[in-house]
Order: sequence, then C-alpha cells, then structure tokens
Amino acid sequence: MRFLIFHAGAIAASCLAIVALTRRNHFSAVLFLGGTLMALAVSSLALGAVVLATAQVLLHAGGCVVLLLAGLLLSNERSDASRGRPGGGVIAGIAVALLFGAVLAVKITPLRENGLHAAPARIGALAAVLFRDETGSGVIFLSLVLVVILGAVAILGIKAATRSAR
Amino acid sequence: MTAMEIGADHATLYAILLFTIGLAGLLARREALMRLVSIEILFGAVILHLVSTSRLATPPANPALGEAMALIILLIALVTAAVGVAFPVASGDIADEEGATASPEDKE
Repeated sequence: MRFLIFHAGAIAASCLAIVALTRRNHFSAVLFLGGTLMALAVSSLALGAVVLATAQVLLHAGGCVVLLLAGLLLSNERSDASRGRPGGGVIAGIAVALLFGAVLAVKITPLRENGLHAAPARIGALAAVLFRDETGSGVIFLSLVLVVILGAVAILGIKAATRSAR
Repeated sequence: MTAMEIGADHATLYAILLFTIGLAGLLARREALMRLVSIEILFGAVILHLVSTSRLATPPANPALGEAMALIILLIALVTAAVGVAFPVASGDIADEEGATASPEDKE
C-alpha cells in the first residue's frame, strides 16, 4: 500500500508539474503547483516522514497563497481568474483525497515505528537535530529572516493595494 | 529489496524527473510568476531526494537529519517565493504592466 501511495504521489506530482508549467493562466498554474506540492507531501508521507509532510502541506499552502496574491496583483484579466477556479477546486479535492489515502496507509502499516503514533518521538528527534548547538543558531537566524521578509512583503502588499485603491 | 518495497533508485528517478521538468519550465517560461513556479518545483525535487535518500539509504542514515535539512530547504523556498513576489510589487511593475497592456481608449 505504501509502495503504491509513494508511486502515485510521485507520478501525480510530475504530471501536475507539467500541467502547471504549460498553463497560460497564472491562477490555474499556481493552483496546479499547489497540487504538485501536495502530491509531493503524499510521497514524503509514504516514505514515513510524517512531520516533514505536515510542514510541507502547511508551508506550501502558505506559499501558494502568496503566489496567488502575486497572480492577483499582476494579472490584468479578471475573467481568466474566474475561469481558473473550478480546475483548482478539482485539483485541491484530488490532493486532499490523496493525502487522506496516504494518512490511512501510514496508519494501517504494520511497522509501528513508522506509523502516526510515532509522531511525538519523531518530533523530538527532529527538534534534537534542528536545535543542536551547531544548527540551532542557523535555524533561529533563518526564522528571523523569514519573519522580516514576510513582514516586508505584507507591508509592500498593503501599500500597493492602497495605491491601486486611490 | 522485494518487489513491493520503495527503492532509493525509484525515488531518485522521480526527483530527477521533477528537477528536469522544473528546469525546463525555468528556461522556457519568461514570466516572473511562472519562473517562481518552476523554482518551487525544483525545490520540491530536492526535498524529495533528500527525504528519500535519508530514509532509504544503505547503510541507513539518520532520517531526522534528512527531515531537518528538508525543513530548512522548505523555509528557504518560502522565502524565495516571498522575495520573488516582493520585487515586482516594490518596483511598481503592477501599474506599468496594466498601463502597457491597456488599450489606448482605456488610457484616455
């Protein structure tokens, strides 16, 4: 089951990436990209990387929202936006269904150390690696940079929206 | 490795395929947003390769290390997307782009 989920996720990611890059409409391209990244998260989950898969889903969802905002700001054709939505809904539905299947596959797996019940231990191991003395300062610095950059983007976005409203 | 086990070579092949698709998109598309999309796909390929290598390597590596590195790359991908979005917004390309594509009647 895990084998099938991994291959399904990877093949779906490749196909969705090709579709995303061949779309002309920016909105549907970003939505297909979201599908690609969710399919990749499914593959990570099938490999047993539970924490990473969760972070991938959350962060990539945020990244797609940022890109969608950019598409909204940079797009001139409003009709295209409304055309892109139904396709995006279908992709999101497929991605959620795949993700659900992957969670089930990990849950029913006979290997106890790879199942979801091992997630707290997994988080502990990950934190031990991330916040070790050598890497801890790097992670904190990266988080600070991320916060500063996202804040700057938010301010610029608000300024641009105010300017266009005037 | 039995027939129904995930192999490291399979995962590497998928990562190479995804990386090639992203690279082709990066070279073929000229719009900034589509290039950002391509870069996100490249990051996805790297993450897949990192996770699969750390999980399926022989002799076994530390899986948490691969996940930690993948998490850091994930954050870097998000920062890249944010910076990529910030540049056109900051330089006021939105207004220019709208002006460039609007018809003469609209401009009047």
